[in-house]
Amino acid sequence: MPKQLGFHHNMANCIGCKSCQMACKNEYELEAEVNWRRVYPFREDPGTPERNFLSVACNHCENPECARVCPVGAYTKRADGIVEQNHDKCIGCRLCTMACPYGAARYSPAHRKASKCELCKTRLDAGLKPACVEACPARALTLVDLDQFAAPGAVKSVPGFPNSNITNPSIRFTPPVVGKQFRRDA
Amino acid sequence: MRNLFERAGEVLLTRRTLLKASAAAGAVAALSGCTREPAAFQSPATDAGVQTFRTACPRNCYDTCGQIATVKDGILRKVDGDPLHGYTRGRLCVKGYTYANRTYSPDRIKYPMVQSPRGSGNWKRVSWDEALTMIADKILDLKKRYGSLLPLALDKYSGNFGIVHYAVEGMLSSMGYHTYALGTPCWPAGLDAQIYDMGAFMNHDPEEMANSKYIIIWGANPAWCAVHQMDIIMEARARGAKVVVIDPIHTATASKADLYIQIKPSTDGALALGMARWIVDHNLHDKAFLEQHVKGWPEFEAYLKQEVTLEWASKITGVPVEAIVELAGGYATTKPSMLWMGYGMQRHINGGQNIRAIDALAAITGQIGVSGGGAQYAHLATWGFNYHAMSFSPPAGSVGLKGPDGKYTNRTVNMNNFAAEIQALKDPPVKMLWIAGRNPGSQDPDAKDIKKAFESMEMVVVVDHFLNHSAEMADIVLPCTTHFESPDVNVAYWHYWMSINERAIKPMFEAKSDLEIAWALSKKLNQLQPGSCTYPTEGNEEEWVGKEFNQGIYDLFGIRDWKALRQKPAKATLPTVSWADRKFTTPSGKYELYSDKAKANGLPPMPTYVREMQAPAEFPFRFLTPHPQHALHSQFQNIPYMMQSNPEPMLEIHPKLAEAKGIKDGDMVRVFNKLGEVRLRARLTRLVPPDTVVTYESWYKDSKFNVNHTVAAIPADMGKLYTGNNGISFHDNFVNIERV
Amino acid sequence: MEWISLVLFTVLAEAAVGLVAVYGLYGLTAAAREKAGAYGKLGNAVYLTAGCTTAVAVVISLFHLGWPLFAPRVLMGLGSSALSWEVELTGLFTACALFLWWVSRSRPVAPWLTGLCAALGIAATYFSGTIYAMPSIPANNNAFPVVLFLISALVTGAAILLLLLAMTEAGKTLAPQWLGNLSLLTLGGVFLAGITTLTYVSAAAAGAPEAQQQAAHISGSSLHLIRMVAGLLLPGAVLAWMARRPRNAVSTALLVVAVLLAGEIAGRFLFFESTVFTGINSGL
Repeated sequence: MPKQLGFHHNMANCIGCKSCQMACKNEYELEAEVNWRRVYPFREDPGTPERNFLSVACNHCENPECARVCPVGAYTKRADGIVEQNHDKCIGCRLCTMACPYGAARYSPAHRKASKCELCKTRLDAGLKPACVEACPARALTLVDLDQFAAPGAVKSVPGFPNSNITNPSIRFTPPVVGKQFRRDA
Repeated sequence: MRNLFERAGEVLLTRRTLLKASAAAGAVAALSGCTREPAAFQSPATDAGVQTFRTACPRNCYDTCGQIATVKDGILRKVDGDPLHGYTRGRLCVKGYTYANRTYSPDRIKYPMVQSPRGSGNWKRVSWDEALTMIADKILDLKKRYGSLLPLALDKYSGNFGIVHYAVEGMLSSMGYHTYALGTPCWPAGLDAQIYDMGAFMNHDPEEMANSKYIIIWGANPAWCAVHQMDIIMEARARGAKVVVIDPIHTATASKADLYIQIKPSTDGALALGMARWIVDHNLHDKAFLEQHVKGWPEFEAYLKQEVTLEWASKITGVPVEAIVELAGGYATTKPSMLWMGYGMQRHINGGQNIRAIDALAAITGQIGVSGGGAQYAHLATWGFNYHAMSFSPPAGSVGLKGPDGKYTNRTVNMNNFAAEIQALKDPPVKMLWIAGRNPGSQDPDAKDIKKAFESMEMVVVVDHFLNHSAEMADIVLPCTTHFESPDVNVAYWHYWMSINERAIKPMFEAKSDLEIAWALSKKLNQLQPGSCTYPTEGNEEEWVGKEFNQGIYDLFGIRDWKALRQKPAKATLPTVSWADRKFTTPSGKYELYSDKAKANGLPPMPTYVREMQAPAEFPFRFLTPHPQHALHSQFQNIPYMMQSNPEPMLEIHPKLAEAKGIKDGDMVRVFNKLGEVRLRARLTRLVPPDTVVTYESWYKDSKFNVNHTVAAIPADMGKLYTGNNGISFHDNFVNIERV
Repeated sequence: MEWISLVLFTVLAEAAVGLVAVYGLYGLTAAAREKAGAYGKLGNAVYLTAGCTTAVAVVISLFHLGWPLFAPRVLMGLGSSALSWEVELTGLFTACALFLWWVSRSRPVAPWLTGLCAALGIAATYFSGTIYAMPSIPANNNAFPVVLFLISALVTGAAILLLLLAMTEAGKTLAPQWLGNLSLLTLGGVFLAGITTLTYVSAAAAGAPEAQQQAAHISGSSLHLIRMVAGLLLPGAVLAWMARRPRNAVSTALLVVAVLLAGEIAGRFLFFESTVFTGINSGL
């Protein structure tokens, strides 16, 4: 039994295509406004010549803020590290959507409840990979057991990512690499 | 009881409000919305009560995915990639994963509608019978007045590339000789270029890219437009390959390249020539290959030595000499090295010529017909179907355009100059348009003239899923099915696979496939005037899919029966390395650096430099409008998932240019030239060069935004040879900008 | 997110808590001992006002929820959720206030009960503040939300007490002794509110990038200006004048209460709406 499941996000490969984001919505028939996984241009600054992307869902933290603040105790952490939600309990107060440093919990205007990535727990039970991991075409997303994870060069956080000390998120990064460039505005 | 609530809860979801939920369920939903919480989220992958179907994405896309559609209780729950498809490998793309959202979009056209007056937005529902009667009456009326169906014009291209969708062309033919749009806006300059060079365009099996050690992605953006190739590129990388991207824009693909070269648009030929010069100077050309398999090397070498220097190339392309050296050195010495030319880079007045220059690099280094090498572009080797759906002739006694042999034919207009040419036709003029699998209102250059062209018609019929810019200008709109609702078969122009497209769900509302429309219209025409249409009046759609197959296809794909495709997709047994036998199908049988054929067609015989279009003084900035991330042209962007993820078009402007024009991030900007203007919000970024502004063309829901108000129908240099008309220089669009 | 229901809930509930607390505090004055009957009768008005205001505030807060009818479920989260405690304690405070109103109709209320009611309210306000002191909001991840809420309670509660002094018979009886220093106390609270707000914004401006953005949003907002000038400076001036020349007029007190409440609402709205969550640099 894995102790802490999480994601390894290889930002050196991520092309920001958003296949992972939409695959998740496809899998769970989410509302347009509800994105359990989100892909962003990472630290894009008009002045810098970098172009990197960050894909983040729920980090199934060691100390989940969502569980701490939820007034109805809807969030629990499983033995395998997945932080899951009892969706029936939710009363739609949206505190979790504010408390999560990573924006994992999302509020659905139609259902008037919050929800988030649960690491495709039912797919995992059936021996399938999470939908986002399955969908990634660039080898940028893998499901890992943090207790056994050891990729060379992988780090706990990247600059600009919220302070890991807050919740100790179960995510590891291979930081982005900027290749050689010949630009016309150098 | 729980199921009823579940169902009722589901009705709250936008998708399901489209379904014919019973009134009772609707009432319960209203009540239950207050008292019952929705069920927890369950993946259909773990639901025993689902059915799966093999479908195939019919979009105009390199990847043409094999899909698995998961259906429960007649509702499409989700769509995944087919794990048994060797290119799709079990995953779709950002667009593909929104297919359920698209199929059940609240904006889908549900039934035939008539708009009166045209363009007013005053739509009225009519029955199919009424719609078809109006259409048939008009067709017969035109035939009577003009003696032929030449006043009826078809504009169709690639909205759905399923083979059975050629029923539209068949339908038009079966009514009489008509006018139709000939050509393709996409890729024809490059097609001709490769034909002049090698005799045909035939790319390697794309999986070959994993064998390459140095991959140059030249003017292509697979991160957005051929995302399955990324896995293969990552595989190559894992095996030690270096990935180079040459692109005017720092694309998502370029962002992950080992080497990114930002080139001035339309100067790719000069860069390739510069590289060629360096390769020759350093004796890295493959003399044996040039001797045995290439025609025109001495002439081309002379040209290189006389006219091409690295400094010259650098000046034209904006690429430093140092970079050209690195590029040429890498390409020539890190073998096998592969070139992949995208379609965007040939949408220029010298596009075809530029492709020829890049092809030449592969010839010069002896890498044509080499695993992991070559100059990849496209192929059509797997499209040898019967086109049975198209195989119906005009009724006896039909009159058309008289050919030199005295036989009647259809009349063509240039698809790439549609607005102007359709209005210019006389004897007879065009009075009616049939638009299917195409959206000229959004995608054709010169949007204003397209509008005028539509306005000059007596009747415009548009067949589509959504009330897009073309439908908005139509008289009659007919709802068509998505590929989940009608069976078909699909192949690709990049990979070698074939996929069946099974019917996964019943047609939504009153939608009909193009084939069903053809049957129905034929029935109506023959009702009103027996013998006026030779198209069958009914049939079985699955059977008609079967009718497309022939022994050639079976042999090529190594299958015995098309129904076997229901179990898994099939791969063509073509050699994975094209031109391995070096038997080029040119007049000389060799790779032709010097092409008499090109010369005879008024083109330079060799891949010499042809100057890129210069910006006029009053419109000094190039306006690039490449393919978007969240859409395929005017498809997908309008649906809820995409509007949420990408709510509005942005104009990417370099900070230097923005500063010069007093434009701040988020300001509304007017982009204009002689033809027209577009207005959109500025996004300051160094992803684009200082003399170029960029936005990604698409159709946003409820938006008039259309870049084609500024794009003129400037022809590319090639395309006529293979497709009948030259391509369009979409990216030779010059504008000025100002803050609004 | 639309914040208005939380804004109204917190401001009104705090006003009610402050009212009971200041009333309880003034129970220690000589006047309260001398005019015990009036003090008790004033209490009746205090508890009614506080109880009804909080009850209304709670109803308003329900509009913030996706499923208001399931609000009682918050009893389940008392383990770690400050929100659960806030709701619990606010409920208890409301019940207590309404109970004390009922009791005080016929007989005096024991001081410890007033103290209990006030304590429940203050605890509710404390937890209310801690809800928003979350690591995901760098500007608020400190003592400021609690302090700002408590000061708000003091200021608005004291002002409402001033109004009750003018509106009730019991109040008029106590006014001659209370009016002056209650106005001063309220003025002190207004001063504290202004200083604390400015300190809060300055601290944020010197903090993490997200906090800096939040500070910039606040300082650049017209709502901030409205609160500081119309919501604090103006009533402060009136209160100073009231302290010097005590006049127990309903109109004056009503003006002070109305402007202070409006200012608090504006400030509270800005407090919520200016929130900048972590991860802005990564677009989260």
